[in-house]
Amino acid sequence: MKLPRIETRCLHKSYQHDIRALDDVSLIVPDGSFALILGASGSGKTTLLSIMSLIDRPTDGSLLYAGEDVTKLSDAGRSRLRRRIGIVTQDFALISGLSVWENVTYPQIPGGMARSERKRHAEVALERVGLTHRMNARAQELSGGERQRTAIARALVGKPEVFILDEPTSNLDDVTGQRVTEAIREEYSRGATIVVASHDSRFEKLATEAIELVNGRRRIAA
Amino acid sequence: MKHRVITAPACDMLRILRVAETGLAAVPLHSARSIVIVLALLAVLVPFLTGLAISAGFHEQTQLSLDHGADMYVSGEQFGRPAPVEQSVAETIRGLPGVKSATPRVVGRVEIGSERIEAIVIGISMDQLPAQLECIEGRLYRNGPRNELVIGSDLARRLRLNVGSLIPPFYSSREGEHVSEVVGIFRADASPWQARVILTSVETAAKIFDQPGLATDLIVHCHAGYESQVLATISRIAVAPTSNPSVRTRVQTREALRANLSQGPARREGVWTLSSIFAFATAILVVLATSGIGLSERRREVAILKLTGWQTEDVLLRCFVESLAITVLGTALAIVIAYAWLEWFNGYAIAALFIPGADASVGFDVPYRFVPGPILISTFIAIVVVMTGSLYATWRAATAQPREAIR
Repeated sequence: MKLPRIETRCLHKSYQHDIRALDDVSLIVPDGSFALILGASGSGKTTLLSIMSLIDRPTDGSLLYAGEDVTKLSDAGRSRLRRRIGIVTQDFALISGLSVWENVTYPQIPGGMARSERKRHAEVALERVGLTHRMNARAQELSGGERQRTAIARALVGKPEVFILDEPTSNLDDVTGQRVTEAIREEYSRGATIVVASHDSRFEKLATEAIELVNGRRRIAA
Repeated sequence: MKHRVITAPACDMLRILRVAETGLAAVPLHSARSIVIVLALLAVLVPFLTGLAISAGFHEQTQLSLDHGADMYVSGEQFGRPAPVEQSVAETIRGLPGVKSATPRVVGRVEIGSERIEAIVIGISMDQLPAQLECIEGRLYRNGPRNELVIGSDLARRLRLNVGSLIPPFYSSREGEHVSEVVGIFRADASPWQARVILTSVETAAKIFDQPGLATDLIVHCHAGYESQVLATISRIAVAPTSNPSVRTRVQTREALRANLSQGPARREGVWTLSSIFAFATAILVVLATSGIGLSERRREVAILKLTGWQTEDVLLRCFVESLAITVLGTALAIVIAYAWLEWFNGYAIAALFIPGADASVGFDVPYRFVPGPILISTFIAIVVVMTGSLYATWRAATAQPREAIR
């Protein structure tokens, strides 16, 4: 399957007590585009990204990658697809007992990559986010910004075709934020499809698509 | 430039290998959980393995005793239970063709001292004593009714007796009360059968139990090849004491005793195994509960693995290797501790379970033997216990949506 084009059709997501996180959201992220998801806190951005990155399922509606409906895909199929997506979640999802470089390259283990090679890959990815000096530190020893950069390095390391990033610069200072933005821009230039939820103005300049959510619904620009 | 081509099966093997490595690394990563599971395994496996090793040791000792014992034991039988025989019958049996020797023996239980310590009195002709039996103090008793006793070192220590000590009358017979003299002390830590044993002449032993002229049984040794012929002949001889003519003749051969072995140590082993099964069942619950230690952290970790593209089978393989490593570690430690318990602490406390009436500290070298069967079975059960506790929880976590655990 050629991956990049992402499409959602009438996505609905409800949680307990009938809380509607997403309500009839349809969108298309074209191949090789840079989509910026906008919206106030609680508007459903994270839920939308979770469904798009296949770590959550919609209550109703469908998600299509390259025209193929992946909503009903088996557990194994979804895992295979996730391997081709660089994901950064808001809580960074790091394994606390592991070192930074191990966290970065853990996704590459089932690929059979040797430890030394993985370490080399991690070094390159961490260099791009300015965290090489902390590569042997344990995840629990990191600051919020360092954890965020570790998660971004992990998304970068496998050179995925799609990036789905939830607030990737929210914990970073200007200089580091710029460095991370640059790394993401490079991936975009390489041809990857990028979906970012952020209020960072640097992404606004890069974005080719803007999707705004209000109370779980897509706001259609006039 | 030449490229090395990695074929699909080789790639699969690499994947399995790398994922398995993470399973091993996960043992120290989840140290609290690993320690609790290893402790739960030790709590069950150490007593189980120690008990079975003691049981196997006693079994072996019994076999040895039988191998080196007599060919036949002749006693009386009344109400289906053993009854005494006339000592003089030994003379008749000695005259039978194929009989090498026939010796009367008196065996009985007594209680001595203010603490009423249990001891076994064995009355036997001095020349029938095992060649390796030697006194560490004093001398052996003389035949005849001399009230001379030779006691085991453990019993001597407990009763604070030395050579020359006079034991106040601990029995009374029709001939009145008698004071006995300790004439020798033998080393009693070599075999379990020698612990708390008092050796004396047949005559003295018969007096102690107020059964003059009677013996508990007659020990018969045969010439090779004559066993069945001697057995048939002895079975027809009347052994009943004149005072109790209804007593029938009972002959127990070495083979019959060997066949009855299962009613001795093996029965205790069976009871022990049964108790251990209950302990294993409890351990399953403990391990299931301990799987809950850091469960949310574990679910989160599995969710992160799934988020980064790990397949459920990879996650399960990692968990399998981790659980297997913990089990092997727990079982190996259990074997080492069980060995140390027996070798260096002489089976303190546990040996008493296999020796009726024994204290926590046994006064002889507890026999033991580690046999592969129970070790393999316990390893297998331990693997099942740990896997039951871990794999199911991991599979549940791996098949859930990663977002649920990460949120």
